[in-house]
Amino acid sequence: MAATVQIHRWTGASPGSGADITSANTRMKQADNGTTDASNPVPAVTTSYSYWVSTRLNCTVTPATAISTLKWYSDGVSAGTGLTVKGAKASTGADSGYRQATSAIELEDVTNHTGIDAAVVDVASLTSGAPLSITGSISNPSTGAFGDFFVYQLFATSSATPGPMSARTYTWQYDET
Amino acid sequence: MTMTNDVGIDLLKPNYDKSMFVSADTAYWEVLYDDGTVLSEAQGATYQQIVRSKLGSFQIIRNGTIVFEIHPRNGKTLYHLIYRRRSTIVGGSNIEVPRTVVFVVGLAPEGPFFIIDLENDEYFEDNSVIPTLERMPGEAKDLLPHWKT
Repeated sequence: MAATVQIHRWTGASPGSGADITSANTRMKQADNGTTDASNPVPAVTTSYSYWVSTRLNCTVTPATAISTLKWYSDGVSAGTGLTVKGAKASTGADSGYRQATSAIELEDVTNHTGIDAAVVDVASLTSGAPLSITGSISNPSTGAFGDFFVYQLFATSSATPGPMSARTYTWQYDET
Repeated sequence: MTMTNDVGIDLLKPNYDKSMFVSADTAYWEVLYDDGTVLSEAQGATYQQIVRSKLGSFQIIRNGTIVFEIHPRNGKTLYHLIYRRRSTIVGGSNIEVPRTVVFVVGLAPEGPFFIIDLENDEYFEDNSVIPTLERMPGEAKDLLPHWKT
């Protein structure tokens, strides 16, 4: 039987294995949750940031043998005028790279997010033809969270238009046997 | 042993909401050995259990029909077989295609490799997948050059 794998968003100081966002929209906002009740202010000058969003795969039904070869990519579409979504994978240090988002600070600065493995990039550059490899695997009979995190954040500058940005789709890919 | 099919065998499907089911969820692999015996995923066999030294053919079966089959070719036995169920899942609601699954089947090291896409009822050769493959349990290190390091 094929495994059941979900995308989970981790929030809070005790995130457990996070919340399933596979079939639900999740927001980048200035709070440590994904519910659709807040927005990001458009700054008069400089840049404002959403809290960072920590996502990871979670296996609820174990694979027959194993899952590996994880990839992450976006739809390749820009977030819009004055908006950029940047991200990186995270696996460094405690909690497999998870760091709770506690304020709207810049993800790019690794002194803020000490779990990030590399410099953040515009996620629109990560496409199905050029995905980001995510380290990790899970083998039968294990279940639960596996693989590195992919963490992303919305950057808004003064040229951004107030109001909801259009939805973007972010994809996880994996191989299974 | 008789050939199996997925009609009336309570094929185990992944535990997704029905909106995320795909055609590949009702497909499975089966191998025919040189001695006439069969090993079937539908009967609980795992890829790791395949005995490569006596493989006669590898099949993908759906609705009782063989939708893809590969035999020894180009002087290679099926010792060189590589199989993957390659999936994508997408976050968000109202996504037109929230999940995809294709089968990747081929012969190491240089191919041919095929993508079997049951959702779109097609298969095609695509050897560009070779560098993307990571070694899985049951596969020898010497199958692909980048697995040796």
